Formats: sequence, C-alpha cells, structure tokens
Amino acid sequence: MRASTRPLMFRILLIGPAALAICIFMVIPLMLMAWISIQGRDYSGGVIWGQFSFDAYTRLFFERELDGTIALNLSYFKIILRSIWLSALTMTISLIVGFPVALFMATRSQRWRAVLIFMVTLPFWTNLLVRNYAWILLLRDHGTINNTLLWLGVISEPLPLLHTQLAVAIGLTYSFMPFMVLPIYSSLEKIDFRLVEASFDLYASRWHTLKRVIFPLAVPGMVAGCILVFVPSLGSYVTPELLGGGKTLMIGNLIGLQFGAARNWPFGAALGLFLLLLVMIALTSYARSYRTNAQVGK
Amino acid sequence: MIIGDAVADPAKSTGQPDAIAATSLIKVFGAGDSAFKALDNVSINIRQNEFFTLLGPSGCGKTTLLRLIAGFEQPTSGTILLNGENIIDLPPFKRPVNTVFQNYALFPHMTVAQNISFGLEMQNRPKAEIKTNVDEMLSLVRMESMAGRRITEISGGQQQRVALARALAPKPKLLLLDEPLSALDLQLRKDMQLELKRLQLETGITFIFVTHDQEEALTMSDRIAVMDKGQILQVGTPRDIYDRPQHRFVAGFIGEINLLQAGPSGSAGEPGDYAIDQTGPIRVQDGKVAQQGQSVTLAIRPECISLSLPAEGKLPGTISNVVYHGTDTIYHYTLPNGAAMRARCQNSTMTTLPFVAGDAIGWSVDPRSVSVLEDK
Repeated sequence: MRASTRPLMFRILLIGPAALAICIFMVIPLMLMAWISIQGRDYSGGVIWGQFSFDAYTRLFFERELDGTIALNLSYFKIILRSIWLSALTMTISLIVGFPVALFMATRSQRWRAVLIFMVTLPFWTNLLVRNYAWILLLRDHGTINNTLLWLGVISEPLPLLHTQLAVAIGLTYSFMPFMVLPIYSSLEKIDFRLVEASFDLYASRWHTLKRVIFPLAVPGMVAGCILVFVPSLGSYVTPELLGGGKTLMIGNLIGLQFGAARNWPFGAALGLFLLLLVMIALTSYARSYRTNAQVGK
Repeated sequence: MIIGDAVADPAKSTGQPDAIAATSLIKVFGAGDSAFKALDNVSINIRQNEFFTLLGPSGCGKTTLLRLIAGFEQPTSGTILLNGENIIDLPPFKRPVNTVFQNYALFPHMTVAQNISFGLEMQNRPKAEIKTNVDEMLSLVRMESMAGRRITEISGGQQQRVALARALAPKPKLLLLDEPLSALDLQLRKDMQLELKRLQLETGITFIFVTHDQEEALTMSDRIAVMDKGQILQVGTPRDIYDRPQHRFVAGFIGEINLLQAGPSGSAGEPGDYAIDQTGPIRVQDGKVAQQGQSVTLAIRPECISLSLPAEGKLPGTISNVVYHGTDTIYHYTLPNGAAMRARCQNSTMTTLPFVAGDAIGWSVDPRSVSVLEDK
C-alpha cells in the first residue's frame, strides 16, 4: 500500500539501477543474438544486416543439396543429443558420487566441515584449462593411468582413454562436482539430527533411515545440484575441446566453430538460442516435477 | 549411591522382572580436563506398568539416563536390563523401546498418518495390520480428522499427540518421554498431563517420564526419582518425596519448605526430640534417633505449621510479613535466633488469623510432619 503512494519518479529511481543492469547484461545481448540468427550470412564472417533469412534454423535439421533440394541432415542433431547425453551422464555420476561426499561432510564436527568445504572448493583456485590439461596427462596413451596398468600387467596395450566420450564425461564430472556437493551438503546440514534418532528409535536401520528420512529431506539440495551441474555441462566448451579431441563435439564447441573457423554467425546464434531453449525446458520440467513431488510426497 | 527398591518396598515385588533394571551406570562425556560425568554410578529399578518420573534441574543427568535406555548413547560402564534382558549391545532400532522427543522430532516430509505408520512399516508388519493400528492410534489421541494433514499444518498440541501416537503405535514395552510437555502453554499442558495418564492406563505400557517440573512429576507419577549432579538422590511415591524428603536438595527442589538447623535436646528430651537454638524443643517422629552432639537440618512444609497467639507449649516467633494469596495467606516470621520461616494458612473465614507484621506469635507442627535431612 505504502509503495504505491510514493511518487512515480522516486520508484523509477529505485528500480532503475537493477533494471539497467538487467537490460545491459541480459536483454540487449539476447536480442542481439536473436536478431543475428535471422540475418543473412556473410561468408567472410559477420552478418549482412537487414537481409532476413531463416536458413540458420533450417540448417539445424536440414541441408541444401547441390541441386537445390532440401534433405534431412541429423549430424547437428546428433551433436545436440550427445551434449544432452553427456550432460545427463555427468549429472548422474556427480549425484551418485557427490551425495555420499556431502553426507560425509555434513556428519563431521564443525571444525572438520570447514576444512572439507575448503578442500571441495580448492580446485576452483586453479584455471579450468590447466585442470583439463592435467587430465590429458592422466588419460593419454602413455599417461599415468595407462602406464600404471601396463606396469601392473593388467593390460598389454594402452587403453584408448583420451579423446573419447568417457574422457569428456570424466572431465565434466570433475569440473562440476563441487556444484553438486555444496547444495546437497547445505540441505543435509539443515536436517535436524534428532529426526535421525527418531527414525532409529522407530526400528529403522541405517539404510532405511537414509532412504526414508535423510534422502527425501535432501531432495531440494539434489535438485539444485543437478541443475547447477547439468546446465553448465550442456554448454561446456573447454573440456570437450581438450579431452574430446575434436571428435566428441558438444553443442558449445559447435557454436564456437560457427563464430570461428566456419564463419557462420547466424547459425552460431541460432544454435545458441536452441541451447537456451533446451536449458529452459530442462529447468521448467525440473520445477514442475519438484512441485508435483512436493504436493504428493509431503 | 545405590537405592534398592526391593529394600524400599518389598511388598510390591511380583516375581516379574523389572521393566528396567539399571546397575552402576556411569556416563562420561569428553576426555581429559574437559571430561564431564553426566551419570555418576546410577542404579535404578523401574517396575512393570509404572508411570516413573525422572525429576531434576537441567544438567542433572535425567536426559542422559533416558538416552542410555533408548540406546542413543553408550554408557561408560554399567548394565541395563529390559525385562531381564541385557540391551546394552543392541542398537536403538533393535530395542523394543520408543521415545517421545522434547521437540517431537516428527518427520516434516510425511503426513500425520505416515508419521504414525513409520515404526510399523519398519517392523515389516502386514499392510492391513498397519492400517488398523494407525486408525486405532489416531482415535486414541483424538486426531482422526487430521490423518492426511502435513506436520507443518498442525498446532503444537496436535504435534504432541502425533508424537505420542507415533511412539505408541509399535506397542513398545517401554515408552520414554523426554520433557514432552515443556513446549506447550499452561492450559494445554494440564490437558496433556491428564491425557498422558489416561494413555498410560489404557495401554498398560511402562512410561519413563523426564521433567524438571516438580508439579508435573507429583501429579502424574506412580514413583519419582529425584536427580542432581548425575546422581539419584531419592526414589519414592510422590507422597514420599513430598512428605519425607531425605536430602536438603530434594526438600528444596520440590515445593516450598522451611529448613531449620537443630541439635538433640540433651538429657531432658526423649529420643527423637531436637532443640532449636534460642527457641525451644521440637518433637520429631520420623523413625530416626537423634545422636548426641549431632547437628541436623529439619524440613517443615509451610502448610504443616499452625499459628496461634503465644502460649505455653508453643514455639515463639515474630511476624515479619503477611502476603495474601487468595486461597491462602503466607505468614513470614522470624525465630528468636534469626531464622526466617514461612507458614501457609488456608483462608477459610472460620480460621482467619488477625496477625500483622510485628506481632508476637506461637507456632507448632505435628511431629509427623517434620523430616530430618541428611546433610548433603
């Protein structure tokens, strides 16, 4: 009530800085991207302003043959599918590995927790690029892993580890694991430990307590963690570039390629918007399933 | 110290093993300089179907004792027998004991009915049995209409009932209640006290009730153990504890009481007679014989003192203050040796006493209403 009685100018002044920031850093770049995606393509890079074309969008699924006919081309679609698959895999591995880590952290003493949080965030202190190079040293044909296995006599020839989907999945999981661990930790930490005692008191074993009490109460943290891992994985660039070795392109690399070597800015922009659409679908489906869960489960 | 119930009340032993027989329990938290002895050699026997209360101030060890019985803590030494069986090595989920927690600890992600059925499900009872049992519990605590509500949607008093129903549903041999009423307001607390007593009688389950509220303990319990500093000072019926306190602490913790220093009344007195310095002899009938030269503390409840005009055979005193309390009046008076006393007199119109501050009075007390305390 009181806010509406304030003078209009005063309100505009208060909203102004936030609105300006959103406008400069979000609305304008997005509009620009959308605009570029429907412009004509300049073969030397950039766009031909004012020449409208939806070629960039048809290119997502179709290609123009030499004789002018349009044929279905799923090679880009495959890259998009691979991106979703690798991101989902990364998310799943992070969840499976991250939950026990977070549970372990949340059940330590206050002093130990601080140390463990520090250790989880420690990799952020180094450049992502450098950390991915480190994985190259570990995964390559005569890297640490293969050499150790050869020395132990487990294998007689180096395993092809680098430049595979597996390598990309490992790299992504490694990069984004803290984003899974920290939100789960924060929701686990909030659980009243007396609920665990109550569960033990009511004949629930450790496993049942985990399944019936701790797990459901950690769902908000797990959802947040999954989003925080899935979304950046989907748009990742450095990891597939280095560990995938150009063979395992993800949508991020494809976009990079369009603005670089391929000099197809409209297509790059269209791919970018498509990625945005994918992320939004993923987020809304999460939000919806979470809301239904909240209504049914609680 | 060890308080044997067999000694205190041999008539009541029935041949059935005690619900709880704990022997020489010691619990030390921490180590080295920071070590804290929460329980100091506690032994206690709790009978079948008893409403047993552990009473004491916070930090006295009553909750620790409860947690040892529930299995949330392991004793540093000592044994606990439940119906004659040693349960020390059993984890909490294997003990046929349920707890009503101080903050209820209800599962926030489940409904009222789901909370109540949790323990039954964990015991793998058949579905149909769980259903009947949950319905039975809901009606026992009068929450039938709330079965589908979420825990966050019900009031504190209702949460309290759900916590009770949840703990009673698996039909435990023993129910532990950790200050379950402390979060409720006064009127609700009084209702729940009656409700708890009703549930205990209806289910026939042994209740161990922890509280720091002496009135609650007196009104609800079959027997009370008063605890302080990790030790059990006295075990007895509410009447025993109130009328016959054996320790200064017990006397002071439960209700108001006058404490008086006294010594044997010398050669002239009979056994059981004491003398109060500069005041006079007082007759005490509590089964103990005064030792020559011994100084004791006498405990007298304010409501046991009768006041009158100064007279032969009455002890002297001077009124210092009169406080009107509606149903009764508290007369504060001092003895010739300076000791402050209180007498509580009922305000029935027939016996209204006209004393005001400064009046000299005479006072007396029934010899059976005086307790001789062990100095502790």
